[in-house]
Amino acid sequence: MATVHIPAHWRTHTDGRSTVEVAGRSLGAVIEALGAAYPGLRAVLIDDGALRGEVAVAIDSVITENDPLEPVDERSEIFLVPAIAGG
Amino acid sequence: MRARGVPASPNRPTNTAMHMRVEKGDIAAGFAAADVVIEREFTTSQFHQGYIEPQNATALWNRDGEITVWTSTQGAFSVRDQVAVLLDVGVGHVKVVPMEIGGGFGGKINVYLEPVAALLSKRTGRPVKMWMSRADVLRATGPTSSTYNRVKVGAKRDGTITAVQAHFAYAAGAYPGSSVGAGVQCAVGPYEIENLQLDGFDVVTNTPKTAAYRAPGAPASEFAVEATLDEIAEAIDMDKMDFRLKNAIAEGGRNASGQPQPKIGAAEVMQAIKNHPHYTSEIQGEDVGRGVAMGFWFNGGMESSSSATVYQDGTVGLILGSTDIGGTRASLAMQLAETLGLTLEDIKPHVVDTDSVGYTAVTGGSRTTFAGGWVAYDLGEEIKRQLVQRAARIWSVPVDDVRYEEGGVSGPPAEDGAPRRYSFQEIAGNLQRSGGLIAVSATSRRNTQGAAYAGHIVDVHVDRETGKVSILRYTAIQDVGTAIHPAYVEGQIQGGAVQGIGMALNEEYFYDADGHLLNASFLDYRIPVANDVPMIDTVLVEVPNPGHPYGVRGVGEAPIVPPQPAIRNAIADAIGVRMYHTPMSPSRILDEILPKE
Repeated sequence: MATVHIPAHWRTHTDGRSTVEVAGRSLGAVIEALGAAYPGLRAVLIDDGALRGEVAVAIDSVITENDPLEPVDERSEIFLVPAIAGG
Repeated sequence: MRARGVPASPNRPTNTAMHMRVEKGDIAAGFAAADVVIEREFTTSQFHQGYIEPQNATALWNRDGEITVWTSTQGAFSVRDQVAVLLDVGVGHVKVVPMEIGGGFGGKINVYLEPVAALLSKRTGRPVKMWMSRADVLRATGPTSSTYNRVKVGAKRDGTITAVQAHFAYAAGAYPGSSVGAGVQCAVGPYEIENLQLDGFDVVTNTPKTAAYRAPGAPASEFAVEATLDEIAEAIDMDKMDFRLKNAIAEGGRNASGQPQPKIGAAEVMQAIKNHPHYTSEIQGEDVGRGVAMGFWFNGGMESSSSATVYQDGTVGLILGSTDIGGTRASLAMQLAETLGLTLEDIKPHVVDTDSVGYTAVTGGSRTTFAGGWVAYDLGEEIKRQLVQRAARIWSVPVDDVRYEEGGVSGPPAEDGAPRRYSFQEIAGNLQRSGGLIAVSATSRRNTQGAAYAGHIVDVHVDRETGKVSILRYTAIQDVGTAIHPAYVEGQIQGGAVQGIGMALNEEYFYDADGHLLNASFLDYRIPVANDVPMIDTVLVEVPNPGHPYGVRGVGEAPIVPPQPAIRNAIADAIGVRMYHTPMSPSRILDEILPKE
């Protein structure tokens, strides 16, 4: 299962857990499973069925385009971080 | 207002729109293990991007419902999408034609005039042109946040940083959405810190809405961290660069959010500073000092598209969706030329409107040479593949027997033993007689850009009577991956350094008690001019990015980060006065000097 790293300010939604093991072979499946397990986290991550624009997701060392079809490996580490805008 | 990120909804009004925390390790244990702990507070003013031409837009809303917008922008597709949403029309009904742009630095991404001009065109049935005065620009287009930052660092006497705790509060202006998220994530970018706790607060204020500005959020947070690290190095009596090198993040190291790092050049930049003659030379003169600081920026990847056509004269048209800022056309054309084994002069790059090329994100985020370069590479590889097929067809030989090499195609010897070879120009001349010209298109959405690290060395003189800080010598060193067009790379580094110098010494928004901007002109909002700065010497450290066929990393944003702390550290070295606010204008320097004399 992939390991999702939870930012400190959202750990109130995961009973204080800093990492959560989640099944899923795509980013969309992982986020869906994460939201199902932790509904409070779902509320801050998802809006109108999609990841909120202010949330960025990195799989291992690579920031994704929040594409729900992005493949996820069983050994992947997934990081939820604030989206960054360049100048 | 409901505060996102705050554990429980607040039970009283707050102007904190968002709280975020990045946490790693055990912060209490980290400070307990430290021999030295220093905590400092810093504030920064608001700075404007200071691009050349003010915002402008011309729009035509035809009676058939089609809208055309001509505008100075960093991203034609971004403008198209924003206009479509604001006017509630489909994106297919909006065409944006990007005009030449004299810099944007993050300030030419949001739309201001475009939808208004379009609506006025609809009402009048005529094209409508709108533009801002410089005062409009300064008042209404969004400077950076002003910030309040508190940083606490613990370290052992051997130089190991054991803990960093920080509080970053960024003023967003009248609406939420400052760049504090990036500020938090960049704060300790050059270092791998075992124990840290970084809090960020997006604070709503009665000032204009802020906007992105070159490495948005990073200069303020890294100013606070780099200044505090300088004091730590002095407290443990360690060379400033040895101290930084001891804590440098490297490949496989984990950043503040815990992400493992690919091949990066933080340590290489630090070592280059340590070895540089500027750093090792003696400082001479009274009230003269030297400072160093590092800077970090993530860089961007995102989506880019292009198309290319091989013309019968052997030249190649390259159609770009990226507006050209700082040499985009040349740097992307060079990468296509490299892939095809041609010269830059053989490639004819054109920036076109949103109806004429695939979706392309903004020219910003230090992404364009990286992402556009990937597209150019993909285009070149596809052209090579098709030319090989075409040559095989002309020669009636298997495709596998034909190779693309050295700017042309080679095949097996003819029956009479003569070598089969077409130069690029020769095969291009045969295309129309062998199936037609070749036109290809490509889109890239890769995010393997790798991060940028910059390190600056500066010597300053401080006039104790006037408080004026003069820059005597400045060296900017940066890991640029591979410098595709070295002169343009140097230009990016020099420009970033000068904008950072402006933040450090001169630039500042002044408001009256009612919130009115008092210095809405370039006469009173003082950006550095040519005689304020010496030549910015550059050193290009090349640690190729393994996530790009030519090793490209973004270079544009990292160089704006180090100037504030480097100059602050130099002032401390020169006169023993540590500054905790930028800009370090003459009056603020005097405020510190006079009480001590």
